Amino acid sequence: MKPREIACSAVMTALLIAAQYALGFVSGVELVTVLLLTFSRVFGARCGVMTAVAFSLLRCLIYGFFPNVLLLYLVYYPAFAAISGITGKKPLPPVSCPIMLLCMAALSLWLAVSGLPVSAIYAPRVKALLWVIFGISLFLLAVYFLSKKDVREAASAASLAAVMTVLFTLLDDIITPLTMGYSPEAAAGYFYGGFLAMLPQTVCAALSVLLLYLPLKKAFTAALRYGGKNSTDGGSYEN
Amino acid sequence: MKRITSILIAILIFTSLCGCGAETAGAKVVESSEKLLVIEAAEDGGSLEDALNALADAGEITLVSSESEYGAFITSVNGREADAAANEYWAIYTTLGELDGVAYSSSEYGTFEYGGKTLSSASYGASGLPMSKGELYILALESY
Repeated sequence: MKPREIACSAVMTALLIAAQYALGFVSGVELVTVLLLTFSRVFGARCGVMTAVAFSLLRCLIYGFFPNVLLLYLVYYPAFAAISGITGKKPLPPVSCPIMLLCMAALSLWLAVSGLPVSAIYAPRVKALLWVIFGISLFLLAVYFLSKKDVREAASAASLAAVMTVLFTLLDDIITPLTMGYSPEAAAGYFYGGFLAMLPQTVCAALSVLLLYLPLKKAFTAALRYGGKNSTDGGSYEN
Repeated sequence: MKRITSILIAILIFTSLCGCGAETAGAKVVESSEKLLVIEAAEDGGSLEDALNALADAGEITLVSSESEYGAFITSVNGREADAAANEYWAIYTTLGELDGVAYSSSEYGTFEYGGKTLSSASYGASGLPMSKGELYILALESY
């Protein structure tokens, strides 16, 4: 591990914690996904995973040490950083993005039509968000097929971010009931309740990555090149 | 003219008072102490948050909450703020169980005994918990 990699990870960890804390008061809005995804793609999977682990541990100083949350973060974010870094270096097959988006569109359409057993007060909002995700999936699909290479890359990253955000909640639906010892009925209630957080976060992840991926990639690449020119340790990040 | 104005003012005051009565009619305070607030739904409709806000507007209780992904997060009731440093929080319990296929509480999350009844920990926050006539809702200061 090069000192410069450690320094970059340290700065990124601070940025992730600051971003999470600053936007913690805005319901359903987060920038950790787009920041970590872009950072991992530019700086590589190793740097991304190291940052994700540091972020998962250090955020506990603010939000407290809850074993289920810590475990969730330590499993999800390093995996997310690793997938982002690997797909940055070795892009997924071109067909994978449309498949992810079609699956997401089909699932959200099915749930919007069939309905979810959530609180009657939240049901209209959940339904509306499912329709929004259905629309975003089709929109990303159109962007992916109709745009130039770089915008297509952003659409692909956005679809990966959306799918991973869904997986984050599904992982929580497994980890928390297991660590808390919930019965199947209570676990089912926790699963359905999770949609209230998952849906706005998925919308936010898809849109923030679509809009911010390219500018952030440019900024991180510039930082990487600048670091490379001004360092004595080679300036390349091979994983 | 003065008489008409007086009548109009009287009607306005009367309708305002009726309005206040309607807001608090949705729920009544059964018990209110430093670490406990018990309310009973007097009619169906609205959320626990709506009922608490109506009671607060009527001056029967004081309430402070912040917004979260899961709706209102109650931080203070009747001036008693949950001390985060001491791991305190305002827990919600209710007798409202399953309604229209949706489970609004679970005894697995915790229970609270009150007046010979066992209330279960709410599956939703105050914003997502519907008021159902005759059901009890308890806000209890607890710590973990």
